[in-house]
Amino acid sequence: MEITTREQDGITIIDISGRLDASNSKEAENIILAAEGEESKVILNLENLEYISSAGLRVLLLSAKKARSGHGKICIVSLTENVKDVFEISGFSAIFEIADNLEEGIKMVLLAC
Amino acid sequence: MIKHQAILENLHLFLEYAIQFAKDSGINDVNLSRIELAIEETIVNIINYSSTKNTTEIEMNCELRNSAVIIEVADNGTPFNPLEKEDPDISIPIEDREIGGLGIFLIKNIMDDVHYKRTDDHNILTLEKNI
Repeated sequence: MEITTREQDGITIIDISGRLDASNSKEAENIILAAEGEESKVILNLENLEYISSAGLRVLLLSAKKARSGHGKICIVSLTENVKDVFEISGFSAIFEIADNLEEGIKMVLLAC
Repeated sequence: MIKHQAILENLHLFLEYAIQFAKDSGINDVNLSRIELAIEETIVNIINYSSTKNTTEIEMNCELRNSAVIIEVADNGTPFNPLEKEDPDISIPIEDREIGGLGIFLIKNIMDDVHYKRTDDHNILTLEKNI
């Protein structure tokens, strides 16, 4: 797993790649929650995320809860087939704002604020 | 058959063993990913709920029966039937959604059959995926 953070158009973009599972979810939680500021606009880019388990879903949920509680805005973009499958089974597809690509995600986050 | 101590550091050993068996059985990529996920959730649950001391071990057996991959996961930890856990409500919004509880729910939904038994002081969870 690799996580990188960048700023673009006032949005914090967090790229998560590789595998997000029980062996690294605590580390991911620390990095992602630290990158989210108060009232921030956040995009989680999962374009290169090959695998996610419930430990990883938990991190995404914590991240979304933090964004919502601080009146921020969060959007997830670019799900791979594997991750999309897990999102659908777990109901995450219905409760998260999800965009097909980064460009759409940026529009979604900016429009909503 | 493989047997290792129930610690997170050994998770990859169980994953590799089950994935190799499933691959050799000719399972497709979608089902292979689902088996990988189910095995991680099963092992992590044992580590979190059944394993109380460093003598807890997990034994995994794989077999092909009637065009299905059968994976049996046994541990000598405290009695714990994961299938008795109530399913999370997956329709409620993010703010109200509980953290956790998804692992068992995923296992039940991605496998074709899952059953639990307690035999000879062991928890035995059997996962089945049709090829």
